[in-house]
This record gives sequence, structure tokens and C-alpha cells, in this order.
Amino acid sequence: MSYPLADYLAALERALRSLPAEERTSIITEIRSHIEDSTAATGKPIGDVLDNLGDPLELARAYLDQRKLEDAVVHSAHGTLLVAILERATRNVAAFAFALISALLYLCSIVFMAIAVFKPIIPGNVGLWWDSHVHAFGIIYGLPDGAHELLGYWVVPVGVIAAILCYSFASKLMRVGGRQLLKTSARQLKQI
Amino acid sequence: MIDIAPWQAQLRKGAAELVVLAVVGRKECYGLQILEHANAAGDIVSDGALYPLLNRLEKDGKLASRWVTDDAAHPRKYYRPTDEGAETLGAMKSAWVAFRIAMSGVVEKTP
Repeated sequence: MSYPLADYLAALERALRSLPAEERTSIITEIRSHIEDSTAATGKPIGDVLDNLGDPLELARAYLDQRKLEDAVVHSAHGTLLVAILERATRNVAAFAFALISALLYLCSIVFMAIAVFKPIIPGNVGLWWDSHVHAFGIIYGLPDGAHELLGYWVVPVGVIAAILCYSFASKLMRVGGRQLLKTSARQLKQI
Repeated sequence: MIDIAPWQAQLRKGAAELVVLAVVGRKECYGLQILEHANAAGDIVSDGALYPLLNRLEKDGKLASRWVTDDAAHPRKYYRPTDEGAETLGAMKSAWVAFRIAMSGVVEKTP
């Protein structure tokens, strides 16, 4: 085996290390086979054959671009999924909508959790006010005197439940959205 | 000089999937054979684009593959369309023919 071939395959293999070993081996074997067949069939110098395949890192990226979103959907790590969808958000309207709505829901989830946490700490400023003067819900400062708070400490379980609902809805949306993107737009996203 | 290379690259990218499905739809092939058939009349699919595309089509369930070890010194991966792949090929073919006719009508009409 000549040195450029070994170097090329080694670079490709390193760049594909995030793939399962079995798939990586299969890709390397196929590419090696292509290179050996090409040089044998056409008599082209190996340098030309490798040039036609392109930079090993670019080749690896073409394999991985698809893979990243797949992984995120399967393992459903929220951060990874959000990042994978955001990466596509600049290129795809549906991805942008999924990213925006999911991010808003995660944000709402954090706010509801904060309401539940702060009620015992600053009880006078957390709650639901609903009367002729004030309509407000959340963590509020500068309330008019005599504003009537409705929920009392019930705001804690209400906050927790709302936080959980937002969080699970956002997760669901991300998974459905990610899967949808895989189906509809992965092929438009291939760079090579 | 006007540079239409990026536009040509987009055209090829859009065509690659249909070309690959059409080639393996005729006969089970390995990568290099697919390239030879696909590019027989002009550059359509590049070497570096083909293999990741095969990988994706296989994962999408449109291609099936098997390794053959006895026709060369090294193993070759042969591809053929699955039922879903054959269905996709049929649908893409009709869409392509309609597209080609529409394009010819608009673009190639001589005044």
C-alpha cells in the first residue's frame, strides 16, 4: 500500500470516529475498494483518484452531516437536538419555526419553575392578581396597594405543573420536528 | 467570463439521487460501476458525492447492499433498490419526465 492511500484512509477514519465502529469500518473498506479499483481500472495515478474523492475531511463531513441529526433524534439529548435544529434553522423555514417555538417553551418552563421557587422566598411579589385594577401573573414588583392575590401558595404546584407541561411539550416538539426534518430536508442539506 | 459552476453543481446535486436509483435499478452494482454508468455521457455524480449518498439511501431504506468478496482481491459493496427504493425511482422518473418536457418547452424554444 502506498503512503498517500494509508494517509488518506487514516485521516478519513479519524474524522469518522464518532460513528459506530462497524459503520466506520464499512465506509473505510468501501472507499479503499474504490481507490484500488479506480487505479487498477484506469491506470490513473493514485493522487488523481484521491483528488476526485476530495479532501478526506470534506468526505467525512458529508457522511456526518446527516448522522448528527439522526443521533440527536434517537438519543433525544435536548441540547444536542436544539443545536442540530438550530444549525439548520438558517437554511430552512420549518427548522426555524421548530427552533423558535421549542426555545420559547423551554423559556416558559424556566419562568414557571422560577415562580414556584420564588413564592416561598418573596411571597408578597409572586402570584396571580385578578381584580378590577390589576391583571397579573408571575413575579411582580410595584403592585398597587390592596391588590388581591388569588392563588396563595397554590401558585407553587401550579408553577411546577405548568413548567413540566411546557418542558415535555417542547421535548415532544423537538423530537417530532427533528424527525420531520430528517425526512423532508436532509437531502437538500447535503453539501456535496 | 460568466461563472455558472455553482448553478451546475446544484443541478448535479438534485440529479444525483435519481441517477443512482436508476443505475442500480437496472442492475446490481458497486460504487465504481455506478460512477461509470452515471457519468458515461457526462459528469453527473462525483466520486466524493456518491459514497455518502449511497450511505444515506441505504439508511433511508431505499437501497439494500451486500458485500461480495470473491470477484476481486478486496471486498466490494453491491447495491440494489429495495421495494421502497423502486417506488421512489418510479415517482422520481415521472416527475423528471414532466420536468424535462416543461423545461424544453420554455428554454429550448427557438424564436
